[in-house]
Amino acid sequence: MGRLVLDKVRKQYGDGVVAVKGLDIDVADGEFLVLLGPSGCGKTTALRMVAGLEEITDGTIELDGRVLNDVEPRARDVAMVFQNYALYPHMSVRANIGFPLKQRKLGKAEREERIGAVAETLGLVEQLDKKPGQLSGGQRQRVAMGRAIVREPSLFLMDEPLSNLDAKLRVQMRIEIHAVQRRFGTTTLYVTHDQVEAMTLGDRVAVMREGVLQQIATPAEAYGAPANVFVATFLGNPGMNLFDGELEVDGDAVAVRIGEARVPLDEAELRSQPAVRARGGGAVVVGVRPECLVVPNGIATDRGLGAKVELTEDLGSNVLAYFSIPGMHRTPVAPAAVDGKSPAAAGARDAWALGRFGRNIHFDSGSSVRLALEPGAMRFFDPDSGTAI
Amino acid sequence: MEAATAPTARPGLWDRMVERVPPIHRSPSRAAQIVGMLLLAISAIFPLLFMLSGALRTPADWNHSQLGLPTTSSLEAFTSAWGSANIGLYIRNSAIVTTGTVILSLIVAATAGYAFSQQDWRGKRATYLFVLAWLAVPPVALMVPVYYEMSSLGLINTYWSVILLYTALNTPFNVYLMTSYLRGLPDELMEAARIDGAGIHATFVQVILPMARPALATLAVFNVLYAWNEFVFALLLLQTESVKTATVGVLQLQGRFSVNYPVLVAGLLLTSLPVIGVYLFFQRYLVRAIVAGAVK
Ligand SMILES: Nc1ncnc2c1ncn2[C@@H]1O[C@H](COP(=O)(O)OP(=O)(O)OP(=O)(O)O)[C@@H](O)[C@H]1O
Ligand SMILES: [Mg+2]
Repeated sequence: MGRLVLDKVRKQYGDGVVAVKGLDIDVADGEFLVLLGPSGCGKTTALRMVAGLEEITDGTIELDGRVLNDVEPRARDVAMVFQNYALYPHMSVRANIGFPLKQRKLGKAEREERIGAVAETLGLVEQLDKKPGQLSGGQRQRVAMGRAIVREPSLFLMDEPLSNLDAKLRVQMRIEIHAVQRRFGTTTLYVTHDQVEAMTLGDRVAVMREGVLQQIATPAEAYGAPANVFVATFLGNPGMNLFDGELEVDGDAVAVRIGEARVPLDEAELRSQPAVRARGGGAVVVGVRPECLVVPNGIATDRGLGAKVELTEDLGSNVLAYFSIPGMHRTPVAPAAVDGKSPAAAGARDAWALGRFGRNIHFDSGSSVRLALEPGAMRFFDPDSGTAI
Repeated sequence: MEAATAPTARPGLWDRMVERVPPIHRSPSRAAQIVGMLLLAISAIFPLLFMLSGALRTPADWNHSQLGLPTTSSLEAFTSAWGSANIGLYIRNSAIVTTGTVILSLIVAATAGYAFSQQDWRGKRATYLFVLAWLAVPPVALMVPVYYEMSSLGLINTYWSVILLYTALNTPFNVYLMTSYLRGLPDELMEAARIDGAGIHATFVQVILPMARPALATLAVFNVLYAWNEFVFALLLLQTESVKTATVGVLQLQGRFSVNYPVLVAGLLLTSLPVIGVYLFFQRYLVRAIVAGAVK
């Protein structure tokens, strides 16, 4: 069992920094929840409060209905995997994995049995008598996992457990962590700033920014229907294009003016964001994922934009193209939300639209093209608050 | 010098020394440094050689000249030193006092270091500063109060008097070194232990102590050297023959009116042998600790 509920959890450090501001999260039993956000947004702080390593300034944290606020870390029935693994250098792998069992005064026979089983699961049988210093990064990572698994806790806490591994190993360990979590069905709170990890591992992701929860949703939802411009630009690499738009509602027909272009909303867009029509007009921010800008290939479409190719980047697997669009500039809404990920994301007035295309597409710099929007491609945000309409 | 640039077939001492130096440092100034260190080494070893050559002289030779090579190969000075004073007893007493001091010092340093570095408690900072402040107090200034206190406790002429005193005198430094060392350990190790169910005691024994081994070894050496060599308080507090330590006891060899120097230096040499042995055995820890402190 392991249902974790954070209720208005707040953390203020001694020096006055408020790292977490009223966090409400409900993690279901067996769920894999990823806490995602840029550096310094309070992910680690949140995790450490759940672990009991950091005092909770305000609010409550409950595990299976038991309030943890004043419970000692060791009595919380949670296991934690640290970023730098925190293996005991003087102990063998066996002793490291067995450490939590030893603290619980389990008999040697049972300890050995459980250590053996965990080592089997994680492929560490050969390594049991080595010291952490003699292991590779991936093996250390596994030992740290083993030390968490062996306790059979109600809750796993992991703080960027893969960030010390090289790219290839990270993919492999990501898959292993996923498999292990599925196998044991243990509720997991997993902190990362790597969105690929978040998208692939999480049953749901909770996106944080400056101590505030922005959105908590399945990865697909958060990606497809971001709650605000921050989530829109933070998720995805590159993030969502954000255009200044002018809404035009004329009876049943709703269209948005983007620069010189006028794009009618399609059925899907009207259905998923009904409040757009209700606005009746006015300024909006229009978000379009780079992969939703397509080359229409001669098929006539009324959902299109004229664009001029400014720059292309060949990534091998696909091509990024930066376009300027006549009469259009990127919205200045919440520039802090834009993490300077691409030239177009700098918030400059003559910003570019960014598209991601298959590798067989070729653009000539300086040429003019017509881009079409995929069905349902547009998301609408309030230009003042930045939240989804 | 040539050896540095033109290696000979069988590497000599010089080559081996130079080999450890990255090429970029194999410069004349580096050579000067090495020569300087050799001079330092010689000046460190000179007293030992002086004592050795002195002990291997007849008193007449000594009066003639104290320098130069030994003039006799007889070990008479050693046997007569051993015979005319209770050197065996003194060494035993020194060993007891030293062992007691070291054990007590390490216990105090490790537990206090743990409390100062890993635990949070009210008044921690003030207490720590108070302990460190004692570094500034010259021990000699304490002689009278210490004597007074020890007599009122009835500890004069007991091993405990010096064991307790030495431990107390070295505690500020010991605690300082231990605390700094433990502060340098990654917090995550202690946090992992906390989450995994280890209480304060288990964390100390299973995690902190094993990881503190280098610091403990360093402190052990420092405290052995101190306790073995301490003279003033030993003279003050240990006055009966049966508890005298080596540094004090060996002065028996100094007669009231005349001094047989070869016998005296032989006695000095005998009483310093154990501590030289300890030093040689543990010196890698000393070096490591000093270097670690320098890099951090
Ligand atoms: N012990 C502390 N004392 C004071 N402020 C702290 C402390 N730990 C963290 N902070 C501050 O709290 C904020 C959140 O830090 P936190 O470590 O939770 O961020 P994070 O999301 O984990 O970032 P990262 O991705 O870089 O690990 C930061 O502004 C940080 O400077
Ligand atoms: Mg962090």
